[in-house]
Amino acid sequence: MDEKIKILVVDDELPVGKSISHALREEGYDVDMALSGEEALQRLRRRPYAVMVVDLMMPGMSGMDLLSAVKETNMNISVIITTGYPSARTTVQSVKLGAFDYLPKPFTPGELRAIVARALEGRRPEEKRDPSD
Amino acid sequence: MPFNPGVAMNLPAIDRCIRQTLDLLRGFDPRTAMFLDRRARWTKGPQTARDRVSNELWFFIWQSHREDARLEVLRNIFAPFLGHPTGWAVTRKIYRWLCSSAPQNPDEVLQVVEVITALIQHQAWHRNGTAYRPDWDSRGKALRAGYMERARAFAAGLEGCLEGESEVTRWREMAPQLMAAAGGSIDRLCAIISEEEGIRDQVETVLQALWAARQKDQALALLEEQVGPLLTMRPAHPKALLRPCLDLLTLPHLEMVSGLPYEVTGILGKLRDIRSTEHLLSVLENCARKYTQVRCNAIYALGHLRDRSALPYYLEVLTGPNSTDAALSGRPSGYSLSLRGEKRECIWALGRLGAEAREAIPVLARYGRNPERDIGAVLAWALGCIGKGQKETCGGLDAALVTSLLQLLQVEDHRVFEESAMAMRGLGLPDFLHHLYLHDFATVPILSLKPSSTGLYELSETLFYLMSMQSPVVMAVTGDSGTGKTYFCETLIEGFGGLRRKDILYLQRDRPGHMMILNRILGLRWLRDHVAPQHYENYPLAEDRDDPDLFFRQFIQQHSHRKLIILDGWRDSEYFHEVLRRFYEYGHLDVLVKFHSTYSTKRLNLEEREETLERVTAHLPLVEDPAIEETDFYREGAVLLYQLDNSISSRLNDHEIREVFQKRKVATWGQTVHIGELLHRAEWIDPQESMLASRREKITLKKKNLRPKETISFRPRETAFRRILNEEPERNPNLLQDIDLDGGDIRRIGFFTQGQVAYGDGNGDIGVLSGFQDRNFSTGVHQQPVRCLAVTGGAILSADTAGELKETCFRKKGITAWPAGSSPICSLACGRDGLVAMGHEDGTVRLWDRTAQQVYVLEGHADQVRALAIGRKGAVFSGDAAGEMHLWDLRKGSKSIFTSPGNSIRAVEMYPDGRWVIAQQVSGPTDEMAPREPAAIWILDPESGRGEVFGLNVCARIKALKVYFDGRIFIGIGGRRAVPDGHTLLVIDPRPNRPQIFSLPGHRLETIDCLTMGPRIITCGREEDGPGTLRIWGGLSYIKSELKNSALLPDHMEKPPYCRTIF
Repeated sequence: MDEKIKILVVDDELPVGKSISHALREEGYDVDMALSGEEALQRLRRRPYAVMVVDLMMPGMSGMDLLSAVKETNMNISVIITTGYPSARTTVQSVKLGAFDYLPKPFTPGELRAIVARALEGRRPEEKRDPSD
Repeated sequence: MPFNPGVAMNLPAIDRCIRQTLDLLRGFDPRTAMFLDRRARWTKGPQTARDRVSNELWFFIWQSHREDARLEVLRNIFAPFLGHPTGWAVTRKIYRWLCSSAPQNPDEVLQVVEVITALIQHQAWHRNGTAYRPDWDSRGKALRAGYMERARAFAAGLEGCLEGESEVTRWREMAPQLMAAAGGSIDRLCAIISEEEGIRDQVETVLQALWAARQKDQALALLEEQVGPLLTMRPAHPKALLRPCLDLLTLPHLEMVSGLPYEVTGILGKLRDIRSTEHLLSVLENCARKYTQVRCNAIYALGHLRDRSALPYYLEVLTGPNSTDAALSGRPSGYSLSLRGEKRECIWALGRLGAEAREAIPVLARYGRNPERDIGAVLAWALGCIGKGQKETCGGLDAALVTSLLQLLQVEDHRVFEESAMAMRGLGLPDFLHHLYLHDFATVPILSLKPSSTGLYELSETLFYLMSMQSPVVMAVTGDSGTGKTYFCETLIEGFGGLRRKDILYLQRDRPGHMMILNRILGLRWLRDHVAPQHYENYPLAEDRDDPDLFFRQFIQQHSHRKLIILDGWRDSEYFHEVLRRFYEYGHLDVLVKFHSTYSTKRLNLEEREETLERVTAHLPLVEDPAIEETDFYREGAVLLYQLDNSISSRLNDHEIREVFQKRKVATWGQTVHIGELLHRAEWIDPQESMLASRREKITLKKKNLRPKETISFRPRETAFRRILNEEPERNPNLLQDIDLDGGDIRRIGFFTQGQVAYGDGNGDIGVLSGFQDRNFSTGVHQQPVRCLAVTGGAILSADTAGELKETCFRKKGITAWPAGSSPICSLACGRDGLVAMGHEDGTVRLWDRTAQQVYVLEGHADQVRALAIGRKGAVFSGDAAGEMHLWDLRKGSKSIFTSPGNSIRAVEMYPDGRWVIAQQVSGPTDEMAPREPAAIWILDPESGRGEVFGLNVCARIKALKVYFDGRIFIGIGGRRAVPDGHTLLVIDPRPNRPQIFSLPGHRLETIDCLTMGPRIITCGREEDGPGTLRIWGGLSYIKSELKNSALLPDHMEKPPYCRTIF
């Protein structure tokens, strides 16, 4: 049986995280949400995700910390960084650390879906799934 | 084709019928009770049950505003009649039976709608005919029988016109299908009609008796006693009251003084049904001004309906008189009735109209010039709403609107300021933010309020962190009436994050059992002085046997198994603040949450809770008083404070709150709220037990009045300061940043308010550094350098090296000079309730009760009083340059004297456990020369005179002393030559088994003053090569994460205000 593609949304602001999750669920993805970097790591240990959408600025473990931790564990996951404070420095840093792409806030659901779709295209073919499964 | 139901016809196309229905709907006016009569004419004022059903049905169709939803609804409703050949035949026959005198060739739609109307009416009769009535209710039972009879007659007549079993069967299927159509909406509609018919029957009976009454006063009594309760009872379907209320409003003989119009308009305000618009407008047109409460209700209801046609009426009220002659019976002639409430409601209703109320701006602007207290807040809110709408629709703002908001910012009222600031923020006027800030930045850091959606996340982490350290954790929730505090509390008390309901104790004064607990904590003596007797009439003990201290200890013991105690704020804020104060003084207040919200949110919350306008407006003015910023626990920083914007756009609903509080999410949260571990250069330090000679003496108080010498106004200078991040964290891991003050020479600092630091400098200037937009507000106050400084209630008290005492108030923009006393002041301290202590060079201590404007002179010191502190219970500790310390207990009229000959007492602070921390050192010839012997820090128990003495291993002059709430002691020292490595900030941690001392670099030459704010330590001092500097320090992990975050956030980026308050 085909499973839906799993996406993890990490944002400390519940309303923001919910709206991102909602936009992705409408597209047919299986979306989980974490309110902190620590919680995201716990979820990542329990379940494999294809894409992770991470807010850069969070109390405690920042989005960049989470990205480093994910890359250290060699997880096969595409990470998309979102933030309200875009700058060349953070973009370069996040991409250097292995982020797939960078999405400055505010963004539209369409932009989000497009970038997630691109992230999924960049994955190995056997991992691609039809989002409408 | 002629109409002939007996002839088989093709099924009409549903789509065509839907189109015809939509065409018909164009003539429907939703702003009044309009129905479609049997001749397909739109008519106002339904008189029969059939007409009322017609109104309800068409309104229901009209309500589906979205085109696709409306089509779906119609398709659903029409399906039982048009979706089946027999169904259509039955429909036509029923129509003919119902409307024998109807037009000969009606549209299919008219036939279907008429049959639907009849079916709903029949179902309503059937409902009322089978409703439960108690045995004693003979009248009710008679009515029930009447309904049943009508339903039976209708069914019999209808079935009589049908032919054959199949048609009867079809008809019997059609009714349930209709009721289930559109998700059961038609069934609900039917329930409304049946309930309305029941209400009508009862009202009609009473009214008939009324018209039959011979005397007018009897009739009025009947109205008041019988119709009123009928309307104010809570029906299962409140909409059932709509048409009876509208009919009552148009009743020709209804007397205003009966009170019924007030009840009716009040109900219409609750129903908020657009069909009442025309009736409400006619109330405003016809109802005399003296019936202002009825008019207020009508405006309130219209405000909710956002009907633009009410605009001229609003303007008429606002440009009309402020009062009217209320010549009512029972009142003396010439009695003047204020119309302020009506004006307030008009302003609110204009705000609800948003951009559509643009033309009202000039009229509103007039009110902005000199608003009365209860109009200012609503005016600011309304201008904000209108401005927002105007900006969205026109792209710009009316200058008069902006000017009015700026004028409102000058009003000396907390609520008006807060609402104006919120409005300005909503309008996105960054250029004016400085203006806002200048006016009242002292007490309302409203611009940097965190939205509760973010703040509650942080609060949940803080609670989890505190609960992992101690139990119970005590959290108080406060805020003005209607800000949503009880909603929040009630969400939490169900349990969260592994906490069960029984782990949480929730105390709210409105509950009698809880009130008794809180009364016992306050004690009978306090209650007698401050509370009305009915609130403590069952107090179980006489005053001589009452021991609130003992009760509090027992209370905490009894609830030691709880994880969390929540104190929910209540309307008597003085009572609530005293409870908080007691918890604080006993060391059991951990977190304080204060909700703020806009006027509209408060109103909406109160409307939901209180329902009637009268009760809403009674609760709206209830505000937190005193403001939280005036309290000890706020100023001392020991209690974690969350001031949150809980306005509609920022808040979370109960599900979201539960989700946020579900579990602990950040393991290292503690470092973001408290000063973490300072592991830099730690050494062991062994305290020595020692004893001070002590004696007790009686004191005599000399009381004097204190009058200000003069007050001058000023305009603060505003400059920006720059933050310089620590670029060498490896070398200096506890330093976050330097504050570059462009040559400023800060000598003293004090906690001003969240994210803001008060200071006095070497030029005699007094100022406030604000973390919001990195601003420095200052003004010249003294001719000489500032020597000591204290902050109380938004005012900064300072004395210079010449001993002059000045009070600087940025809020009022005034500097007041006070008589300095017999000799120059050399130390200052502030306590609660506006108590200020002043130490003088001639050895006198003066206690200034600012509330009573009186000064008590305390004599006894033989030398300069350089150290002063006020304890939590009003005790005053003073130390002089000759080593003598006095602990003054004004309540007992005595003092304890401790002596330490040969030493000079440099500073004193209260220790968290009630002891006193004293910094002493051997007297030197001058302040600037390094002392010959190291200084010592005492933690003195005043009861026994015993103390733990921590000898400092440096021969430096003690400049500053600060005790953190967890017991760590921060000491600023000076005299670089005597300090190894030039470290001038020492920290003694007496808590572990083996106490430790750390040294932090501080400032190169000397660390003059020190302050703790949340997880940060703020110091001011002097460097070798220039003027004074200000630095921010913190625990290792906090600094690491802050520096990392700062690197992610470049300085030039625009961040949300609450991100920038970190000082």
